[in-house]
Amino acid sequence: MARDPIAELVNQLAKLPGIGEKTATRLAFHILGAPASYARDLAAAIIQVKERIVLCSRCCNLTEADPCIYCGSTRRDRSKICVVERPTDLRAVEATGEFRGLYHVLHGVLSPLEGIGPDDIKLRELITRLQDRDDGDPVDEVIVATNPSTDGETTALYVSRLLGPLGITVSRIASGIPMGGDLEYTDKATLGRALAHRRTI
Amino acid sequence: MPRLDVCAPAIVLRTVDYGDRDRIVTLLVAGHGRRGAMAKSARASKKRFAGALEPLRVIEASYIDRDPSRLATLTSAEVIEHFAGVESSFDKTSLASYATELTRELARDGVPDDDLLNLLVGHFRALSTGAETLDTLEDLHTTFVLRAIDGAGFLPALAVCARCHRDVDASTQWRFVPEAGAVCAACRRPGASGAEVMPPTLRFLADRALRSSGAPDAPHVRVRARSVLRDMVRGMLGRDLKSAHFLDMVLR
Repeated sequence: MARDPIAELVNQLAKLPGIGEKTATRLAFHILGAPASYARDLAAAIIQVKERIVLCSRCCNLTEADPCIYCGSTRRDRSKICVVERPTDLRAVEATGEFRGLYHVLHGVLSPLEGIGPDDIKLRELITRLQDRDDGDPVDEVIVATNPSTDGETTALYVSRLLGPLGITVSRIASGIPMGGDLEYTDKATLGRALAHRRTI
Repeated sequence: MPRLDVCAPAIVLRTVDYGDRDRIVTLLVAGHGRRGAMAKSARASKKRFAGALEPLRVIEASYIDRDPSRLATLTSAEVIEHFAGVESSFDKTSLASYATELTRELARDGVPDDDLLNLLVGHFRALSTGAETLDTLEDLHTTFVLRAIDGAGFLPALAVCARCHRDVDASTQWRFVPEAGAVCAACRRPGASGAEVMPPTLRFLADRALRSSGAPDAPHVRVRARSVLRDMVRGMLGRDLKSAHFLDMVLR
């Protein structure tokens, strides 16, 4: 017997991250109450995003065209690669306007406690890309911009260890007191790190 | 159960993001044992928990406990001690992660285990402040694992036969049976499992369990001891730890 379509929609929506059954039910009834054209557009948008968005074969960013706009551009600094966890992090770095190099998206970070190892993220693709740099981009620096969490740091240390033999400079984005922050209310780990990585002015 | 307001030192054993803003943490709390807690808005606001909800940190955790069968509500957390020496080394982070995961498995909900908490914090300090060679790191790791297992009451026999209690010596063949320990040739049951193990390997592990460094050991003894230690943990938990893969990357 066919399943109740409302129950099926709730079931599918509840699989989305951060969506519980109550929210899924609310969303399902919102869709039911909306014009039929809205439901068709929503369904088409979901199908389109799955059919048209692919991973860039160079940097693993999500893109409609391969290579992506960053890898395909002739105006970017091809000697530097910024390594980020997720495509959303790439957008955040790009929005600063401070970086004009290339990117590499790992799609995750190493996590010893969760058993996420090097083969579970796009690290092999980074190594292959850098090993082939004589035929590709003349990369001399890799900037690791993973989050300043335990897993992000572990990933940065591992990338540094992997790239050491390739003779490429590996740098880490700075971390410490945020702009507008207050030393008095800064936690020990952050303040300690800010002091350890202080710079001459 | 009446509402209980707890404020005590704790170590973060695990964090799992929940929804867009919250984080569920598993803590080992001094005087209270393992406790799961919900940190509301931990991901949205960096001020409230200010970098405290990360593994490898000792924190002062304040939480409200209403029902032991449900998550507590974490109200604040402040870093008391962090281990910069661990965080700056991939090898040390990997070993510390393994120790954290083993602690998470050995600790029990609501059962105070300050010995285990102190053992883990002591291990982090030792990793952070010294231990620059791989052998030293492995010694610290081996000692931690054996002492943690011992504290939980699961340490198998290493210096004597688990069945007849004769001292381990070179006069006979020995096998290591994960659930029992060293078993001499005379006590071995026909068809029973257990890999052969040489007396120097058993002595190496027995020394480390007592925190004695003993005589320098040949590389093959360390390699075999590593394998026995892994069998021990696997036998106790029925599976490998998730972080075992990282341990292999460091120690191989």
